[in-house]
Amino acid sequence: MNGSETTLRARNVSRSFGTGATRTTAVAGVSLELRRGQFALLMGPSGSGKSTLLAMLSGLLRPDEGHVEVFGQHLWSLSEVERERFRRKHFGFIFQGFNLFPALTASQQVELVLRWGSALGRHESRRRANQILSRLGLADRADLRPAQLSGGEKQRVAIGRALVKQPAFVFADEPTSALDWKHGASVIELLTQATREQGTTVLVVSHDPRIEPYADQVFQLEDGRLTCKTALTPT
Amino acid sequence: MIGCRLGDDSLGAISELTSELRAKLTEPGTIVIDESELGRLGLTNGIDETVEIGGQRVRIVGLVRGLKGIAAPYVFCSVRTARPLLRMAENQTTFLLARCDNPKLADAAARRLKAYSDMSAYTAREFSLRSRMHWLTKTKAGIALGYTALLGLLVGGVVTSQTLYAATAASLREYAVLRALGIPRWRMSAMVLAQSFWVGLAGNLLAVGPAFFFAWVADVVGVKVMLPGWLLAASLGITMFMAMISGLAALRSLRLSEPAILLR
Ligand SMILES: Nc1ncnc2c1ncn2[C@@H]1O[C@H](COP(=O)(O)OP(=O)(O)O)[C@@H](O)[C@H]1O
Ligand SMILES: [Mg+2]
Repeated sequence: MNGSETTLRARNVSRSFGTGATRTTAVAGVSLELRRGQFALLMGPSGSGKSTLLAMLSGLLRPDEGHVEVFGQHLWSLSEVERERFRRKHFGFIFQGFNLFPALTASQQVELVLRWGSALGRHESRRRANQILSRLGLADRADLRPAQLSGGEKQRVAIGRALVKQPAFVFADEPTSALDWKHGASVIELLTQATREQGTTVLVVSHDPRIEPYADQVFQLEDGRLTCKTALTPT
Repeated sequence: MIGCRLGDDSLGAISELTSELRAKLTEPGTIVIDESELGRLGLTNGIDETVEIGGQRVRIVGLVRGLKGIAAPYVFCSVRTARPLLRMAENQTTFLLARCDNPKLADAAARRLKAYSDMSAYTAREFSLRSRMHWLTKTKAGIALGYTALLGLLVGGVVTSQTLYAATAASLREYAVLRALGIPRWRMSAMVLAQSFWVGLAGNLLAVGPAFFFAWVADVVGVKVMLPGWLLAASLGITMFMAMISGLAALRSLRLSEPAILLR
């Protein structure tokens, strides 16, 4: 599954915030490529622009300049609604907090994505939700609410929510920062598993060097510029 | 002061006045009051006690239930007893009741009687409505009740809308994740409105029990509280309407739910 097909291509993307004297450039002219089945890691110190770059690559934040091409489609030429549909079809997201609805069970959190996002029926959504939760080792946790789950379990539910529609991409912003390393490592392993088994392209933003050994490629960001791209495994 | 004719088939007979009570009321200077008024009149037993009305002594010969007055106590007696108490002459009266042989002609008859300048004429329906509207809009009790209901609506509306708003605002980050995953905003709006619907319905179900309970309590202490179907349906409708409006107001907070809030 280690194809070399380029799935995402970013050219010269830049983004600033604020105006006048308080204007800060978060990302300055970044170009990069991601391939199918790749586990890419975006590292850099706090405030270096990692989240901003991830948001522009994933269709959440419009760049001031440059363009992002996914499957040959210019993400930022699409209309708002088309981009939403594009994200719905191809992108999964994991964020730092677990961001689970307090009133819903683990399985309902995941089901929601299929019922609302993929217009699947209740029954089929539930079946697939439970299937992915089992794969994530949460089979006996499916009917519990967030308050009854540990941090590691909550983040696995969030991963289930990102993976259940089998997206071509998963974007994860600091997915392990709220977890101890034991649970953090299992999160990363589950994501690498998705790259191998589904050919998912995974982009993880983190400043945790312990993730490096898992990555196919590491991008280093400093003051909004890519300082080095290391391909750890030959592709 | 309600002085009425005491015959078995008199028009406007008060059903609480049994034939036995009516027989007793034929004696001039006798009255019947509601048993719940004894306390505020400073009476203990009621029957056979003597009270003064406008400086004239009258004797209580019986008690009824469920006819508690809103302001002053009702006094039931014969027309003959009532006239001197109200300082009215033999040829004076406040109301005359008349029945049409054919009820369908009542409207026309009332309209024709209205032509006389020294009296007003109403059908039973009109008169009932007029009395209720007078009580509701012209008396302090009615106005106070109206304001209480308005205040209740206002407080209820504010509480429901704030609760729904807070519940939605508390889940902004969760909704933002769904937005990032490409789920359209209208799905979430629909969910918030569905929640409002269930909140409204639950509120109604919770309120039905106490409403009947308090009506029963009021009945026990001597006030008839009517809960006709239309009233229940109307309050149900108003509650649902308020819940849905609150839901629409809560949608404002959804606008703040942008995936950008998840990035740091
Ligand atoms: N919404 C925003 N408004 C203003 N400044 C922002 C905003 N988002 C990010 N920034 C600024 O852009 C820079 C990069 O931020 P960010 O991409 O969050 O960095 P990182 O994720 O690497 O910590 C920082 O200086 C930050 O203050
Ligand atoms: Mg960040």
